[in-house]
Amino acid sequence: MLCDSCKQNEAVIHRIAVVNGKKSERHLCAQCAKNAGFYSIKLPSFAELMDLSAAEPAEQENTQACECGMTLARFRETGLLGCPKCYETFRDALAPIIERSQGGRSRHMGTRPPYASPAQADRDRLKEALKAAVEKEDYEQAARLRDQIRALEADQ
Amino acid sequence: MISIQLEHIILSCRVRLARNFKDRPFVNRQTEEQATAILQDTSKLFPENDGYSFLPMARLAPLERASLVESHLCSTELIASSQGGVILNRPRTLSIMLNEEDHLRIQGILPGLDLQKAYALCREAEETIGAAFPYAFDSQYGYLTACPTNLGTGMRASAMLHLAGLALTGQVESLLARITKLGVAVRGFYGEGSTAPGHIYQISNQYSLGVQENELMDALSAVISQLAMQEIRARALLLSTHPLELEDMVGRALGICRYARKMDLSEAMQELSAIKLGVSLGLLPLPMEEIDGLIVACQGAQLSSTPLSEDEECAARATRLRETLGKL
Repeated sequence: MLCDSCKQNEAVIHRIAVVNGKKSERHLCAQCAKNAGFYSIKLPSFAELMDLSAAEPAEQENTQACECGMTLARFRETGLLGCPKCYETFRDALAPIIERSQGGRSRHMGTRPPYASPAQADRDRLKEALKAAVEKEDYEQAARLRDQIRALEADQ
Repeated sequence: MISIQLEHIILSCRVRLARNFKDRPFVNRQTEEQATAILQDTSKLFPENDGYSFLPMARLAPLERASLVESHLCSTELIASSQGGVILNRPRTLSIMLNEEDHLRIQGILPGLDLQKAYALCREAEETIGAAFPYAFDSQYGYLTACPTNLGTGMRASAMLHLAGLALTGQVESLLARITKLGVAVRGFYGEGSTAPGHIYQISNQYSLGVQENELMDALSAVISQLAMQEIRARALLLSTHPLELEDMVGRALGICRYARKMDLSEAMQELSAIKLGVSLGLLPLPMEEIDGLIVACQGAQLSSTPLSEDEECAARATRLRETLGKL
């Protein structure tokens, strides 16, 4: 079978599509298929994956920019932030996106570099435990943890 | 009862850590000078005298770059970047990609399933670099990455599995769909967005935040071991219920590879997958290392030191297969 497009080479790619009960066929040679974009892998954009389009961004969100020049609108397009500070600049807007992309988790539990503040690390762990205690309705434990957090914060 | 070696199913494993330097813009926002600084700052920590090589993409020929992807030492994104670079150790078990999506993508790559050892390789390099240039770290989100999907540990652990048996019994799709619900991602031979020629799949963790590195690796190892067990079961089942068909398929694959004069990559991967299955089941008396070697050696950029046309590449591939398998 010859290629539908150039009518010269042997067709190697055969696409049969059925749309609304209507069948259409297309037979292309390797070169024409390549030109028609058959080999290019089209990945869904990050926004599509995360279903970001569903969440209407607030008016003010769109104009806010990080010092690196990154805006939320641009992040929604590319899925990439511009610098470490972006996480600070857009903290509130990012929180639900991060949680969704990380299976509902929102707090680092792994290794910390030696220069990360240990007091901060302790407080983070305690806050996490507090949240868990409240969820389990273990209020005694929750009260103890709350006091520990307060003590730590007073120290700082 | 046939014994199937686990290494015949789990080809290799990999751990990568994504890191960015503190107070510097991420790769997508950095200037050329800033990108050059990343290459210089990092590469000088891994001197040639200690057995490391530093390869800036700008100085590599297209074929050399493609060869790095085929050996799984670089990603396709990295080789497309003129500002990218890679640092390799001598045994090529460590690869540090520079200026990929993040400043650093530190990878440990080992045969079989030994994620802990691959992680140890990464950690050593990660600590060396971090001691000289502190990383961007947030007490809530951990190591900060350009894409939020890599936050936290910055870790992606993975293994390459040859699931030819499950493909033949028609279980592979449903099984892989089920495991994605366990926080595990499935990809093709070359990572993100690629297909799975030769029934080789990459299984990796989906989430990097809110879990400790060891837990993450343990959970993934458990899923991979389970998958490997299922694959062994599928192979044993095929051998007991369809021995003749299996031998026929495997024998034909070997015949094609020994006598064909032109072969495209996807056909070669398909035939090699069948041969690999045959070797693991003791149907073909061939050394498995040679077959695994051929899977890499028949990729496009490994076939010649000069660029080939599509026809020439297919011919060169067939010659490579014929000569190697003819000798065995």
